[in-house]
Amino acid sequence: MLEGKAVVRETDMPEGMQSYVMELAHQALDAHEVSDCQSIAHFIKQKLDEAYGPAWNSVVGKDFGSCITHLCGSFIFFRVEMMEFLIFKDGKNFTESREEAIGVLQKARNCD
Amino acid sequence: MLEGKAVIGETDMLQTMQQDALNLASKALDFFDVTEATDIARFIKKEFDRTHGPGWQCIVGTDFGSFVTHCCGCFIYFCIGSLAILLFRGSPPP
Repeated sequence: MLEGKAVVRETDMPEGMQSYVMELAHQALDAHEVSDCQSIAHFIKQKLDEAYGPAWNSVVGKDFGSCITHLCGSFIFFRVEMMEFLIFKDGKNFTESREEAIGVLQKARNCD
Repeated sequence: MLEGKAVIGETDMLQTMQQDALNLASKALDFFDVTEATDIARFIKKEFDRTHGPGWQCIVGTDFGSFVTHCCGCFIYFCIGSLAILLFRGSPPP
């Protein structure tokens, strides 16, 4: 169980949604082994699909980079101690989407 | 340059699209070091957006777990060298 406070690296989510996601991360870390990234990711995605509608994507780990397209207002990248969390929702309409390139060991920046 | 062969863990892609993904990963590893996970992810995603329509998502790394929703025929998870690569499209093309 990780007791650390969540530190947001990058997000375009409303405050309330951010808080909810980070609360889910803490719940997931209480319920699962830290090494079980897939179960943690599954827990978070499932809860968000229920609360805010499908289709959320969840990536959890210590070492990864990514390049994604997400619905505006539905993206957060944060860490809890040594674990990194990338949570985002797909948009149906690409005019409301934006791209992000996120790396654990690199500065976050937009793709273009 | 990594000479390692790619090993597919899981996919529902057609063979030709799978091959595109594996070829792009090999090409990315010619350009980038294995530690440049974000650049590798961007390289693969951008090319898939260009050739197979927008909305692709790509995760690259040595230590991650994930749970995603993808559309049919647009998911692949494979390993090449020390890296794991997840490539999928969440929403159907417009």
